[in-house]
Amino acid sequence: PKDKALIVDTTGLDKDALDDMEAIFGNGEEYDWALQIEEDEEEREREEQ
Amino acid sequence: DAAVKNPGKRRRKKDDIDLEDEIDEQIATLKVAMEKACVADNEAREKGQPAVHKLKLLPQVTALLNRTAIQDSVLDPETNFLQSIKYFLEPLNDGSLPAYSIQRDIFTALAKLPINKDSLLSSGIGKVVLFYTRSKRPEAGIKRIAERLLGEWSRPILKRTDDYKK
Repeated sequence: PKDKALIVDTTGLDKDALDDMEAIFGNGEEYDWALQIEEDEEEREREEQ
Repeated sequence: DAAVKNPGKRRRKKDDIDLEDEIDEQIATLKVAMEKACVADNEAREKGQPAVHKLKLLPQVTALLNRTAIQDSVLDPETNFLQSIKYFLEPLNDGSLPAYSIQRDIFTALAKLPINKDSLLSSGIGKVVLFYTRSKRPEAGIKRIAERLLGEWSRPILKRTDDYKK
């Protein structure tokens, strides 16, 4: 359930609206590095248990 | 097509100019301090020390955000105070989130502000709010506010598409 948080449904949007959405909320990759650290830590915790 | 901006939007009364300049200056000074605090907190983390610099500034930051009389200055895309707010909310270099009280106080204040598209575009604050909806680290109450903001901020953009279709 990694991407359950894709709250905003962008299907059927025109290009201007899509561009605005991306300019405002990013392409979803801006903080991927932090989410990756989060996942790695969870993995480690699971292994330790 | 974005050429039709609204130059007179921030029309000021002459008497208010001094006060507004003063507030702009106050915001500019705080912005510099906030950015330094973000760097200092990251350095502290790397040395294994507690990150307290942002926390120390938090009362000043929330005081400005919560002063309704100066909302125009706070939300002005040129002053771009919201960009510094974005830095405050960003995860630190080790992936950890800023202190809970920072998250709580700032998200609570953001929820009360009438943030428009221009300040969203110039600040990039929507990106960090999106991150809070995706990360598992924030507490449920914070995530709820983040999700609500995401909905509120995207609604006018999504709605515009609907309007065109009609």
